[in-house]
Formats: sequence, C-alpha cells, structure tokens
Amino acid sequence: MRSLNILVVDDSQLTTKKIAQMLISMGHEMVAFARTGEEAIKQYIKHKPDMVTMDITMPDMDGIEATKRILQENPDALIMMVTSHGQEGMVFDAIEAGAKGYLLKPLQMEKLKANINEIYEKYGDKQ
Amino acid sequence: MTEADLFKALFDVIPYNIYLADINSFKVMYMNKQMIKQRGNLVGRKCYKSIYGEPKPCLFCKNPDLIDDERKPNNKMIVSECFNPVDDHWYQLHEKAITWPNGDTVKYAIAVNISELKQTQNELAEAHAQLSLKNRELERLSATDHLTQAYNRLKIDELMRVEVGRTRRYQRVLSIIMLDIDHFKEVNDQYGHQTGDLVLKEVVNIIKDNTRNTDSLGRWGGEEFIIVCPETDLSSAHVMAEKLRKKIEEFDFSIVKRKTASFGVASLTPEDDEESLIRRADESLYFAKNNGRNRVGK
Repeated sequence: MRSLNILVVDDSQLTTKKIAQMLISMGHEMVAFARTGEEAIKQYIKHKPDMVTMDITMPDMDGIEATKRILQENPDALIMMVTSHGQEGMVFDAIEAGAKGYLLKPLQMEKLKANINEIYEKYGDKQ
Repeated sequence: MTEADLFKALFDVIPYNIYLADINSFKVMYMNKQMIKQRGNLVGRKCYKSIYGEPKPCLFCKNPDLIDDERKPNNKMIVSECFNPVDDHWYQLHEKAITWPNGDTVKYAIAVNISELKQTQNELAEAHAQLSLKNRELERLSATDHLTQAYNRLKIDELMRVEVGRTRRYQRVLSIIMLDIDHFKEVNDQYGHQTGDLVLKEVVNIIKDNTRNTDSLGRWGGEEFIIVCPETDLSSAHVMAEKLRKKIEEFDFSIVKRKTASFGVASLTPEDDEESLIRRADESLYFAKNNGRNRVGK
C-alpha cells in the first residue's frame, strides 16, 4: 500500500500526537489535524486527505455530524471513528452516517493498521 | 494531627487512586500514596494538564455539577467513566466537593481502574460496528433497503438514470419528490432506535399505499426518501406531495403518535441531468424545512 495522507480529528492534543506517531510508524503521514468539527470540515476541504480519523466528543459539533457534513460534499471521503464512546446507539449512528470503521480508545496500533488497510483495500484509490 | 492530615491518612489506605483539586484554581492539592506511585507527585499543578493531559479544563469536568450557586459543596456524588489518554486507562470516577479544613472548596476524586471491564465492552462495540458495516455492504449489493424495503440508494440512482433517459427519448414528463421526516433525530434520542426504525417503516408504508405502481420509492439517506414519478408534471407532483404530506400528518404512528414530513418537488427540464434534477428537489425541500416544515417546498 502507498503512503496515505491522513487527517486526525480529536480534541485531545495528546491523543492526536499518539495517533500521529502510530501513523508515521506505519509509513503514513498526518497531513493535518483538527480539534473541532468545524475545523475538521475546513481541513478536509483544504487537504483532501486519503483518510480521516474522527473523534466523537468535541466542543462544537460532534464527530458524527462532522462525518455527515464531510460526506455530503465528498461522498468518497474515507472516515473512521476513533472514540471513547462504545454505546451501541452511537456505533449505529456513526455507521449510518457513513463511517467506514469504528475503533475505541485506548487505540491499539495493530487495530488501527488493520482498519486502515481494510478500508483502503475496499474503497481506496478507486477513481 | 490536623483534620486535613486525618483526611489524608484515610485516603492513603484506600486502594484506589485519589486526588484532591481546588474547585476554582484546578490545582492538585493532594494525591494518595497509590496515585503518587503510579503517576508521580503532581501536587501544585493543574489537574487537567498534569492528570489528563489537556491544555484547558477537561470538557467532561464535573466541577460545575458538584457545587451550588455560591460555589460551596452541594453534597452530590457524581459517578462517571472516563478515558485517560495519559496512561491509556479507563477509570470510573467518583467525585464530590467538600470543604477543606482551611475553608476552601475542593473536590476529591476516587478513580477506579476499569480498563479490563472496558476492554470487553469495547470489543463488543467494535463487533457491533463490524456487523453494521457488513450490513451496509450487503445492502449495497442488493436492491432494497433492508430496514424499510424501499429501494436502496444504488437502485434508485439506477432507476432514475433509466427514467431520465426514457423521458428524454420519448419527450415525456418526469418529476421527483424528496421528503424528509421532521425532527427525526428526536425520535431516536427520546424513544430509541427501534422506535425510529418503526417510524421509517410506517412512513414507507404510507407512501407505498398512496402512490401509483409506476412510482418508485427509494431511501435516499437516514430519514430522507425520494419518489421517482414517471409521466408526472410539476403540478401533479405537487398535488401528490401535498396528499402524502397530509396522510403522514394524519397518521396514527405506533409509539410517537404524531409525525410530519417536509417535501421538495422538481420536474425534469431539457437542460437537466439526474444531478441537477435532484439538486432542485433538494432546494425545494430545503425551502420547506426553512419555512416551518410539514409542507411542500416551492
């Protein structure tokens, strides 16, 4: 697989840093990050990343709403949730909104890697 | 031994992480031995920064709920779960404000490590997600939306392409109706997803009962539907949308009782392709939503 440009959306600096490190060690790159839903949409438009990791709890709009908004304008966007919310309803909403993956914190490197690979194989570089 | 020392001696024998933080300044006033052993001594530093790794007070901070209007303890004990990204552990937090012997209002937090329990829950949630994803994939491959039995997005897209082509070839008329259930999210939030699903199914049944066999109904997104109406001009489509609007408004839904929907209508023009046709129906729907809902857009 080629090296992917990934947008990391999380309101915690520490988590963002951890995800970025994991991505680097897999040969990918955190091309940008965002701490709020609004920022996530802006950064998505600006960078058109190959993939997005999306937190759910954020100060302005939640990650599920941000996912919907990004997908509305960019139906091919590949977004996976990385969150501490494991309630069934939340999972269902996220997948219904169009998320392609759902991972819980603490984020495990192997799981992140497997998810990125799976999503990329299924949906990536189709255009 | 002062009162404060007594408190501390008590906290030291409790086998969970405990810290005290000033309600106003967020400064860590004390940590018990167990917590110091695990996290090092953070006394004097801001709790959000040193304990939770946040640059600003945590979004989930319970302090405002532990005090009254005069910023004195309200005697409530709040229990919550939180994930700490500094040590990658899940904690069940038991928090309460107390008046410290010097008169300050402080919070004590007892943090029980529940990472193992959470791991099981999280694996279950991830399994749920995998199932939902598989479901969506299967849906993509079939023609109907599993839940409502309306056509799915892929199928309705294809139907629309065919109808637009046919309408153009034979110089006929074609309209589409888009509808969106008003305040649908509230149903899910208030009654749960099963009730939300029921509303979707009931709406689909109303539409099927009140459209012609030649009309095709598709689920466009969550609570949004599209009806492709061949041989229908704009004014007939308006009449049809208005009839459906009324039927939904008057329907006795199983649990939520009353529900309404907003409608958008558009007809194919010679310049249109499928995309611009949908865009105009969407704009019409948007108009209906912005003008009080439960109506048909211009």
